Amino acid sequence: MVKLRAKCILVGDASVGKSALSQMFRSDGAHFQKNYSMTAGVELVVKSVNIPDSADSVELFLFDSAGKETFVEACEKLWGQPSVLCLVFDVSSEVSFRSCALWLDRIRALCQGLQMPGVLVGNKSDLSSRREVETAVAQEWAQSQGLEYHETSAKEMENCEAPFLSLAQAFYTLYQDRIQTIQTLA
Amino acid sequence: MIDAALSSSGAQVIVAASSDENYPPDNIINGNTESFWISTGMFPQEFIIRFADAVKMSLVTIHSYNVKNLKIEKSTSSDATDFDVIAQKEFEHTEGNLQANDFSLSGTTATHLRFIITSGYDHFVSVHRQHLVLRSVTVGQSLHLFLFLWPSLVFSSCDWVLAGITPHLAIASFTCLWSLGQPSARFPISDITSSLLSSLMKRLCAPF
Repeated sequence: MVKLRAKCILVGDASVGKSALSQMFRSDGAHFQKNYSMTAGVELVVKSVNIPDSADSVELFLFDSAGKETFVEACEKLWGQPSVLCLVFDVSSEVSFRSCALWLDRIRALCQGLQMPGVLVGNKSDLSSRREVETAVAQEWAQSQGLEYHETSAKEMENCEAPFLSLAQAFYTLYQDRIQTIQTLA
Repeated sequence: MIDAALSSSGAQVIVAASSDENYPPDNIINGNTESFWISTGMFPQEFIIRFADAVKMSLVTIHSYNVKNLKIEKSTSSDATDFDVIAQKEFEHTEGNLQANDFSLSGTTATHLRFIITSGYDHFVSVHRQHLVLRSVTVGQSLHLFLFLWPSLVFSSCDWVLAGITPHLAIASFTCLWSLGQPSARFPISDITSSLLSSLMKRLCAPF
C-alpha cells in the first residue's frame, strides 16, 4: 500500500468555475457555491483519491489559483514544482478556451521539460444554449497537447470527479513507470 | 574503514517524509545500491539518520537518482533537534545511471544527519545508498598501529642514533594524532593508549 502525493495546479481564466469545481470535488458534490467570490492567490484543497483495483491512493493537493491576470505572478511563486495540471475553461466562452494555450505555456515553462500529466476541463456544460466551444474542437486541441478532455457541470454536479480521478490515475501510472526504470538501474 | 551509516552499525532511519512499503527508508542504510527508498511525490522530501553514538565524519557519499538539490543538516542532540546546515549541493542529471555525490565534512561531529531533497529532475526521486567515512575511526586505527609498531622499531634496532631521535618523533607524532581527535568510544583505544604510552615512554627514555 502506498500513498502518493500530487500537487495539482488548477488554472484557467477568471470565473470559468475552477473554485466551484474544486469545492464540488472536495465536498463530494455537497457544496455548490452559488455566489461568486473571486479567488485572489491560491486556495488549497486536499483530498485523497483511491486507485481502483489496488490498495493504493493519491493525495491530491489542489492549488485552486486565481484566474485574474493581476494575481498570476503571485500564484506562480506558490506553484513551485507542479505534479499534475488541471486546465479549465468555460464552454460558453470562446475567449476562455483560447486562453488555455497561454496558460499551458506558462505552466510548461515552470516544468523545464518534466513530463506532467494534465487534463483539459470544459466546465458549465449545462449552458447548452449559450455554448460557444464545441466538444469536438476542444477534444481535438486537448489531444494535440497531450491532455485528456473532460466536460463538467459543477452546477448540475455532473462529471465533477472525473478529471481529478483521471489525474490521480495518470500520476499513479507515472510512479509505477519510474519504479520500473529505477529497478533496471541498480 | 567502517561505515557507521549502516543499520548493521546501529544506525537507523528515524524519519522519512514519504514511504512505499515495498521500498522502505531502511534501504538507504543497508549498504546495497540495488535496493532503494523512493519518494512518493512533491517536494521537499527528507529523511533523518540516527547513529548509535556521536560520530566524527569526514565524508558522506550519496547514491541516488533524479535528485536535483540536496541539503544536509546535522544535530548533536540525542533527540534530533536543533539542526544546522552543513552542506548543500546541486546534483547533475544522470539519465540512465545512478548519481554518486560526495560531501566532504571535515570532521564534523553529529548524532543525527538530516537529508533534505528540495527539488528533483522528476516527480519521484530515489536514494539507494548512503555511505559515511568516519574520521575518528581512521585516526584511532592508525594510532593503534603506530603505538604497536614503535616499541619494536626502537628496540629491534641497535642504532643509537635512531633511538636518540625516536623519543622526539614519537612524542611529536603522538601529539599530532591526538589533536586530530579523540578515538571513538566504540574502540577502547584510550585505555590501551595510556598504558602503552607510559610503558613506551619509560622504555624510550631508559637509555638517557
